[in-house]
Amino acid sequence: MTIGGWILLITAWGGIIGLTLWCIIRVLRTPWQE
Amino acid sequence: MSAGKEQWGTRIGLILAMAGNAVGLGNFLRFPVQAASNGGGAFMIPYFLSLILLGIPLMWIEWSLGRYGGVRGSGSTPGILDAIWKSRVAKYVGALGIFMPFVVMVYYTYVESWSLGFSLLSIFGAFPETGGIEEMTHFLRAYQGAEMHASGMFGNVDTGAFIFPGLAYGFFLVTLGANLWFLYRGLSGGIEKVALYGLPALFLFAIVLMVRVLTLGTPDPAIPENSIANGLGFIWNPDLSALSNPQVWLAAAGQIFFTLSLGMGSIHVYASYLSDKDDVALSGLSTSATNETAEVVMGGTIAIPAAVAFFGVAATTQLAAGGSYNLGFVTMPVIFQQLPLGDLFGALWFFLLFIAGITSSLAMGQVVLRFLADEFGITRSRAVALLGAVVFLCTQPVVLFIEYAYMDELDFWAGTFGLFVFGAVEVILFAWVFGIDRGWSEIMKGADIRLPRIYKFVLAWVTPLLMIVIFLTWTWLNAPSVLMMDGVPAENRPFVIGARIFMLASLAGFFYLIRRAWRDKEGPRAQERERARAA
Repeated sequence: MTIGGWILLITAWGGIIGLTLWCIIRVLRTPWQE
Repeated sequence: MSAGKEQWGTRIGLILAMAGNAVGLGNFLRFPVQAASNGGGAFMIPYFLSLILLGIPLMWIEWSLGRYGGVRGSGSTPGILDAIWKSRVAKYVGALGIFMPFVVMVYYTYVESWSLGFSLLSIFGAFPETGGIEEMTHFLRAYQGAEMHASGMFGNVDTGAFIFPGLAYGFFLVTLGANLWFLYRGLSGGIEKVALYGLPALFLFAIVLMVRVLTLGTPDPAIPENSIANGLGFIWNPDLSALSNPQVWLAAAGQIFFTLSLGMGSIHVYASYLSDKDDVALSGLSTSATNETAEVVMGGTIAIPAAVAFFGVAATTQLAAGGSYNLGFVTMPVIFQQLPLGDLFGALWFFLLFIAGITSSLAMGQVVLRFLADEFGITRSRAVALLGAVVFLCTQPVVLFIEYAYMDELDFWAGTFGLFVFGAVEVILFAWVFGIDRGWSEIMKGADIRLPRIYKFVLAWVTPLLMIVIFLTWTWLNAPSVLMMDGVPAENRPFVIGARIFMLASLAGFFYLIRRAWRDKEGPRAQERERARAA
């Protein structure tokens, strides 16, 4: 695996996992509006 | 009870059900093959651009259209399109959003049943003990009933493979029965429960398998280039020259479209149970993000890297070219056979695929149930019985003619081409017919997050134009050769034509049902009823 490959892997994983966790936290902290 | 009166029990249940709808076999099988064969890490650049400009905006469009229709009493796409587009043909265009989930359910349930079957066969150590790719290919074909051993038995009895006639059919009946049972249990009692338990289990199994694959190192020290690091490199090392190839951009956009289950009609139905006050912006984004974690982080780390570690880059390229099913049902069991506790890991792998499959097929079934409930007032139990009987009958040719490309034909037109058609149509209707101002305020209604204003421009211009370009280019490159049956062996042609007749008949059937439903709704008798009610 090249350095470029590692950079892409870490950036993609970091971005996706970060976004997912942010979404989960926002969803759990916001109750149904009904 | 009408399906229209149902609702989701919890918000997290809804998001997991939506994510379950999106996470399917493609996340674990199609994505790594696409990435590896389209420039590796460089593929991720158009892939993420497509996610931001096409996938997430379309997800918001489908969530908001579903909620818009549901609030007005129509959860399936004929009613939704009729509500946003004042045209007599709108409801017939919307028929695609029921036709596709129905046809896909017909073959998808059968493939899903292979995962359940292989999961149990793996636990009982029933795979061929010699464990080669060729051996496993014969085993899969024997399981499908497409091949018979010289002794007259199904399967390769010499290797101890535990296959007997009707095994695949038995698992199909169990899988269809499970689908119908959960659909019968209803939205919060069935579909949501499966998602609440199934999705966390799927993620847990995927993490266990990821850890196992990432700790493979170099399985055979005599061949140091066959390593897990090189396996990851096969997917992630960027070949930047690939970015100048339009096919790579098309493949990336297509993968985003498929993986998020866009253009299918199922997202609309799930979102139709929301009220006007419920958020769709954060929920749609959460669904997309969860699906991407399953795809990029987990799907990209299991099958292809493991295959490279055991067979090398050249052989993996060849195996991947054999298609997603070969990778999942032939290559992976052979790899697990070579690991300690391989039967257990194999069972986890196939059960993971089964969960990914059933959470998607439930969404397809729910589309048909919602249509029958909304437009004909059919009760859930009757609708489930009807759906079960029709799907059971229509799956028979899929089971019997598996080796004659009958299923591949359904998959191409209903599971691939149709999605592009419907996706392009709905994005144009949303942005340019419904109107971007109304559309934007519909997305922002009850939103828990503030979306950047730039997305209004993206939704109005970038997503529709991108969708049109992708649809036309993809159709130009793929549809003519499939339509003319180029490369289809002569013995398969009658079955391919049979699949087309079945699809045309299904579409005509849905057109007829829609015509009848609207005649009842708008016809003289309905007007009389209205007048009587007013009086």
